[in-house]
Amino acid sequence: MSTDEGISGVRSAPTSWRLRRLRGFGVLFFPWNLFWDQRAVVLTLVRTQVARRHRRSILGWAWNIIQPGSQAVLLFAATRGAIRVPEAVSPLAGFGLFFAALIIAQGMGEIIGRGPTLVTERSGWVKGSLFPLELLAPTAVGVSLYRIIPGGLLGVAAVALGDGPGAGLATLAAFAAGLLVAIVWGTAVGLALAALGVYLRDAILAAPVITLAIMFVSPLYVSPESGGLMGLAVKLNPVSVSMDLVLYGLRWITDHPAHAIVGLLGPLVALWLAALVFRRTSANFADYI
Amino acid sequence: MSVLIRLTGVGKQYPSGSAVGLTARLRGRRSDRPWALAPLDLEVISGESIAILGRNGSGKSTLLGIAAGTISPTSGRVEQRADPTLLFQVGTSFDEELSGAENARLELLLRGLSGRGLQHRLAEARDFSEIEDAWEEPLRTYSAGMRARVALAAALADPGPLLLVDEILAVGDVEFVAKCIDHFRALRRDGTSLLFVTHDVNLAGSLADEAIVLDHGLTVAHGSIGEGLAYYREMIGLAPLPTVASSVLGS
Repeated sequence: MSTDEGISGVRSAPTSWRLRRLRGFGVLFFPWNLFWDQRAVVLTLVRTQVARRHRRSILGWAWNIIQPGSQAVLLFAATRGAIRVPEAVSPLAGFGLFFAALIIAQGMGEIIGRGPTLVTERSGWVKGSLFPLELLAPTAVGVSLYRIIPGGLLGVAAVALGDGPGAGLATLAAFAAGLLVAIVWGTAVGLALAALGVYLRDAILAAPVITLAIMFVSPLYVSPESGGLMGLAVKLNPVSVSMDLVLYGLRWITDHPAHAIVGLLGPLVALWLAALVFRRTSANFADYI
Repeated sequence: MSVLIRLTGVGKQYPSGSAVGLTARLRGRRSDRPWALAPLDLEVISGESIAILGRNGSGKSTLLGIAAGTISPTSGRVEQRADPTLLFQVGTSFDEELSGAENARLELLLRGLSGRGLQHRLAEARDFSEIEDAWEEPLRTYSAGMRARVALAAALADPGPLLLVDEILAVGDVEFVAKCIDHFRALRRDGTSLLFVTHDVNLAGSLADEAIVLDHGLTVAHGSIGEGLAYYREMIGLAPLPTVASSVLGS
């Protein structure tokens, strides 16, 4: 015999995020409501993955500076003639701006590189638990922040040393704004690639190419006003707005209001859409993993 | 009494193993593929315990996965009205780098516990697992039995109204299995429902009210545990070899 009367402790609908049906405002605020609700889980996973990265390493956390720092020095030396940093700044400040902008692109590249395997490498979580898989994207972003933030602060310090504390503070504010945009973009791209990677191995194979493209087809090397395919590609690059903010400061927003509005709202819309698509497709992940 | 999970006409056809490319997938027609689980109806009511019996590859884990929400059915409708607690293939949701304590904490955080409630349940889980100092060591250093202990301890610390169990008692020593079976019985007395997969007729007879017997994806029997076990015994031809769980129950 079955009736629909409730009993103590039994709810009328599941509350687990994996099983929960999104309704009303829940859809509009998704995935922010999930990320906020499960923030302790994300922080635990970020901490673990960062610790895993430094296991059996002598220099440990210092690699977060050494690796991107040495890459930035080599790239700055090798491509100096092509780099587009404002002419009015000193050489040291120019390197600082380059480093701060590049580190955001590298962080985003790390997310794009790992994105397609985020879900596939956690097959047990797909099949054997009700873990809300959307949390894997902000976890990847959190891990990359361990590299982006110290590198960016070093870039800011170089600007302050080269052009004075005022310039350093302005770059710090612009870096923080650029970083927020990149975090939202990174989460959106991570979610989209994580879902795609389950169905198409091509996403994994294409990731290194996209990683290179976002670094070089960017305002660091190509002017968004250059027109043609390259100009369009720079505008479509998810890190362009963050890089422009770092290179030209917060005044870039007032100088390019239309571009700034699209650039700031774009990632929010992209994240919302990516989260909904991820949720819809995730029901079939177990069939392919 | 209330319905916790209702499956109506649910069936599952998995994508073909050869459909690896996008075009092959787009062209692939599910209706041509064999049913891993032919459409069936099933209700789990609060306080009820159902055993899923059948040979390997008969669709038992697929049925449990559909009920849990980890596998989407090809046909039919799944109505879930409660959060199930999953005990699938020992520790599959665990992170190797996290300690037993952190993995258990992660499980309980995901179930919405926080603050003192979380600490209290964690302490209970630690006591239940009986792995003492290893509780703080990374999971990668654990044996299969220790993983089972952590998985069971975390799940049973806050089991909720419905436990879905997939042969987790197959790993573990006699003493711990006996303790878990006692705990399952206590949970049943308190009104927790069980839907579990097993090959062990003694365990099924001891814990279930109802049985569903599957064979090659088809439901060949569905009724009281007595009827289900009689059919299953006949189907497999002879009684299965005693397992740790059955020897515990036998004693």
